[in-house]
Parts: sequence; structure tokens; C-alpha cells
Amino acid sequence: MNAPFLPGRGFRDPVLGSQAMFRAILNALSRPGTVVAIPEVGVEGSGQVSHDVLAMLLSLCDQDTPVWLDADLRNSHVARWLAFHANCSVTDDPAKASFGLLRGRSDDPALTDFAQGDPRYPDRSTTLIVCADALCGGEKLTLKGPGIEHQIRIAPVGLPQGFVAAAQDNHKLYPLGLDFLLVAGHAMAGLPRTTRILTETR
Amino acid sequence: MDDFRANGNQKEARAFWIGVLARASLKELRAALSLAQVELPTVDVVKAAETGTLMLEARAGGGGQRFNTGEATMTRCVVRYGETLGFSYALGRDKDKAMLAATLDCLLQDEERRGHVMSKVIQPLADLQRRKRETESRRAAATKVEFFTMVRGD
Amino acid sequence: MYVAVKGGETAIAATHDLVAQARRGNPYVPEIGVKQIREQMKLATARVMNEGSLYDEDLAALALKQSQGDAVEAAFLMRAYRTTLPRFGSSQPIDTGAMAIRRRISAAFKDLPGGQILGPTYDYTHRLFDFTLAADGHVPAQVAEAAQPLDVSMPRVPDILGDEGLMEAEVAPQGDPAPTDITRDPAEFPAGRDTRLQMLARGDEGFLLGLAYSVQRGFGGNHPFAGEIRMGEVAVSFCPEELGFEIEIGDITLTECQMINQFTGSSDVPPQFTRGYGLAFGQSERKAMSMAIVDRSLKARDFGEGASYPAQQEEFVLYHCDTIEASGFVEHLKLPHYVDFQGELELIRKIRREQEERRAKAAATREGVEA
Repeated sequence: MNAPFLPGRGFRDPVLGSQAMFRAILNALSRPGTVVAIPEVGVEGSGQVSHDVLAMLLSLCDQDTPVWLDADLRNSHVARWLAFHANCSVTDDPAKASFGLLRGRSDDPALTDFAQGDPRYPDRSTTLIVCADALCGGEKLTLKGPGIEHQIRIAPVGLPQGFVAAAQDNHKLYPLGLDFLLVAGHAMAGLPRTTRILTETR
Repeated sequence: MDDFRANGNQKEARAFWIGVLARASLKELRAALSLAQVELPTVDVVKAAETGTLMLEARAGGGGQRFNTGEATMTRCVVRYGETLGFSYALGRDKDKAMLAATLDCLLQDEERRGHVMSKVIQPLADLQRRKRETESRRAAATKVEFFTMVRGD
Repeated sequence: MYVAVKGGETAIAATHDLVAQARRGNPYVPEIGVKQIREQMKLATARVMNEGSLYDEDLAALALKQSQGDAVEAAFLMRAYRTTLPRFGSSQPIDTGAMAIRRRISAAFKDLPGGQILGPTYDYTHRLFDFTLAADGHVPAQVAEAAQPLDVSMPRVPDILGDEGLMEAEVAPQGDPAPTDITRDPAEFPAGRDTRLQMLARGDEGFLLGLAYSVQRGFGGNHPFAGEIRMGEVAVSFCPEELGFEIEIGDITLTECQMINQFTGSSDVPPQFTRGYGLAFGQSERKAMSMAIVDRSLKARDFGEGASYPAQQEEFVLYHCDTIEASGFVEHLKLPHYVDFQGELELIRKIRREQEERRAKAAATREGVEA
């Protein structure tokens, strides 16, 4: 037998916690590239994923939204924590995922393997939480598009290998394609499919 | 697999008491508890009683293709006592009952206390539910048609 | 076109108070309680649960109280409330074969196993007023109880015929797939049986009743027999993810109707009866019967019958059977359409002006010619 599974707490206050988190995520996606603080909502869960990411997943996911996790997480405390608190199913098929958590492992699927939506229902695509080490100090990216006045710059560190090029290709699929939430520490930045990413040539 | 999931033979017993608790009203539950003098432990709330819906599935023709026939309200609750998790699930929106039933699920998993709670709380409630159903059935049976055929001619 | 119009706040606040007063009626008459509605208006609450697509008798009773007994408004309250709740999952498919039966009749077979159980029904009343109900203190009559309860399970009538091969089979498709859910994904046409049954189950009783009547009167080419109608309590089973095994979480009252219809067949398949299925919350016989007739008529495509009657046309039936959508769209006409109508006014004035100008011009030309 495993050690007893005792789930940590979900939101400290289920209503206010999920609302605060959802509002922050909406802000991030409607103002792409703007660094948004992840609210502290009292989530407790041990394991390989930060409380901030768990809290984001908890506010986004429910029993109608399969979540893609990588092979390490799929049978971990994280998956059971999510099943317990969000009542969502965990999938190994990226094409079936409503949400996913990308940590930059070597065996991660390509972005094009996730659900891209279909022309009648472009909303049926995966929203990915992408882990980074920091949102500043790295390669400078210039972002343009809806929700951005003129342009904005962001310089994430430690994104998955090849992510920027893949995200640029993703933008070309509009109105299909994925939406991203880059997360590092207690901060996030939205990168929806509508955002054009320009890399600066040195 | 998971430790809080019951093992084979306990599953059946646990499904039985969860079902009895789900069908009991808060009033019936409180009455049974006070009659049985059951002392309730102080538990930690892991997931506060929450009301949501359950989609009810049925089958075309009764046994054919599955379809969704509409939702029902239900309430669930998870509490913890030591290393035991107590769950409750029931149709309806009674949160106080959900909390009480989850606490009893904890008690019933404790082998030392199970016997008393089973015989003094669960069994009487189950008997009450069975008698109620049987009365309904006997009333319906009183409306059963006894056909007789009139023979014409000789 | 809609424009935001301000200035009605005070009037709206006053109407809220006024409708609350209208709902209460004469204050010297005792106020009706939700429990009274739940216990004494059971068939009304059943209709609200069906069209609100949410099983909760207390909520349906509250909805009726709040809406002064307007079933459509009450169903709207149920649907609105439903959207605020998280969904915990789906039940195991309900087994109506294991129903604790309170009523079960067949108009096709007299001597069916388990018998004809009339149960609580208005069918054998004379539709004469019972004025003792208008007087206070009426005590219901003593109810008879048989020595023995009914059989624990009774076979469904179509299944009896199915054993002989005389009945169109109802079998789950390969792999017993999870059903589509129109509350999550919009319906697509041609619709699957699962989509059709879900939409009919929440459909307006009056609309489905009218369509079923049209089928019987010849606008549908079917002659239905009430193969079986059963009503009673059915257990709801659910397998919570975190528990890992199936549990029962209570009982609900259901009415099920199996309509038997005239046969179909081909050179390969010997003639068989066809069937329609109706299932409704609570004791809702008219709804379940109407649903079963319309379900059968919507199988027209499957049987190559050609959808020439309204009840056979699934887009027409399914798009228009929803109480809430229909009342929403019809009643939205009450909202201000001032700008829309201004546009129409200007257009009609312009057309008239132009017509007059043309006439005047033509008359002037004629006068010129004559002169």
C-alpha cells in the first residue's frame, strides 16, 4: 500500500479564491505580455508542481475539462489532488485536453499535437500553462496584437526548448490554435493565439 | 489501489451504508443518532459540503443507447478523522445532512465502532426505508386489475 | 439593433414591489408554503422539473411559488439556477427495469407478467368537481393495501415482444459510448438518437403533445399503441472518481412510456413493430407519451419514410420544442426595439414619398402630353 493519500486544501475560500484567480487569468489573457501577479488563495498540495500552478488549474478545470499532464505527473499526487478537488480527468492524449501543463520535458508532445479547435468551434482547443524560470531577463520578445497598445516586450527565461518558434507557428493558425499562460514563480503572462511574437535579431 | 478506496469486501458494505445515509432525511438521521446515543467525533473538513448537479443518464427503450435525460441536484462532503477520510453523496441540497453523513462514514470505517453504528443507526434506517417502500408497493398492488371473462352463450 | 436606454430604474424597482404584492394576493388569505406546493401540486412541480431539466422537488415548488404558478417562468428559474452549479459527473444509466412500480399499464396486452397496476391516476375519475375539496378539513379516504407487495421487477412490454423477434431491437451502439450533451455542445444535425431524446426530455409538454396529436391525426403516418407506461421510483447510482466504486445516492420518480408502432421491414428483414421511447421526471404521463410518439416519428429517416410531416422533421421539432428558448425569443419582443422601429418608419415614409413623387411626375407628364 502507498502512504495514505491525504489531499491538501483547495482554495481557502472556494468562492472568493476561484473568483480572484479567474479574474487574474482573464486579465493576463486580455492584456497579453503584461506580467500579472498570481493571487495567494491558500491552496495546499505537496508535489512537483507549485501551489500557484495548482491554484490556476483548480480555478480553470472541472469534470468537463480533461487535463493533459506529462507522464511523471499523470500518476502522481498532483493528478490525484486535481481529481479530488477539481473533479477533472487526467488524460495522456494531448488532442483531447482542454487544459495542459507543459514543463519542458524532453518527451513533451509538439504543440500541434494538442487540440487546435475546429473552424466552427475554435474555442475547442487546449489552453496550456507553460512553466518558465522567470518572465524577465531572457531573450527579448516583442508582442503585438489585440489587447496590446502598440507593442509590449517580455523576456522569459527557461521556456521549453523551441517553444517560441512553435508559438509563432501557432499564431499563424488563427482563428484556430492554442492559448498559453506563461508561469514563473508567483507571476504569469498571457500569450493567446491572437498575439504576434517578434524575436529581436541581435 | 488508493488507500482511501475501500478494498473488495468492504466496498459492498460501505456502498450499502452510503446509500442508506443518502436516502435518510436529516431529521431521521438525527433521531436515529440520538436514540443510539452515538458520540460524534470532531472532524476536519477536507471539502466543505457543496451542492452541484449530476447528469442523469438513461437508455433509449430502457436498454438501448445511452442518453442524458436531465440533471439532478446533489450534495457531497468530505471530512477527515485522523487518517480516515469520510465521504457523503446524496441527491438534494441538504448540506447539514452531508456533513453528518460524511462524519458517520468515518465512524463506520473504524472497525471498533462500526458494529454499534451499523446495528443502531444504519440498520434501523434501512428497515424504515424498506418498510416505506413496501407500503407504497402494497398500496399499488391494491390497484392491480383482476380480469374476469364473461362467457356469452353456453 | 439594441441601444442601452437609461431612466427606467425607478419604474423597475416599483414593478418588483408590485409583482411581489401581486404574488402574495389578498393578505387575509393564508400564504401558501413551498412544502404545501411540493406535496399537493406534485404534477405541476414535475412539469417544472422536466422543462427546467433539473430534478429537485423543493426547488420546483419554490419556482412555482415565486412565479405565481407560471410553469414556463418556473422552468426558467430552474434553468437559471442550474447554470450556477458545478457538475459532479454523470450517473450510471438508470435502470427502469428495476423501478419500484406504483403504476404500470399496457394498452396492448391484457395479461402481461406482473399485471396491470392502475396506481394513482385521474383516468378513471369522472371529471366532476369534488366540492368537498373546496371546504376546509377534507380528509382523504383510507387507502387499501394488498397483503403482498408487487413483484420486485416486471419485464418491459417491448422486451417481451423482442424475445419473439417481433419488435425493433433497442441495443446500445458498439462500445456503449457516452451520450452527447446538448448543455455542453450545441446540437448538430442530423441529430443522433441521444441528442433527440435529450432535447425531447426537456421539451415543452404542450408543443410535444400537439405534435403527437398531429401524428395520430394522419400527419405522420404512424399508428401508436401504448405498449407500456410505468411510473415509480428508480435508484440513482454514481461512481465518484475519488471513491472508486459505485454507490446509490437516492431515488427519483420517473414515468416511462414505450409506444409500439406499425411495422417496417424489407426483403432481408421480416416485418417488425417499431417503437418510440418517452421518459420524464415525476408522474408525467402525457409528457412521456407525447415524447414517445415524437421520438418514433423522428425515426422517419432511419426507416426511409421520407420526412414529409412536421413531426418527422427533426430540425423543426428539436429547435422549437424548448420552452425556455421559445419563450425567450417570443417574449424578447417586449424589449425596446425603438431604433429598429425608427428605421422601419423612415423606410416606409421614404418608399411612400418616392411613390408619390413618381405618381406626381407621371401625372405631370400626362398633363404635358394632353396640353
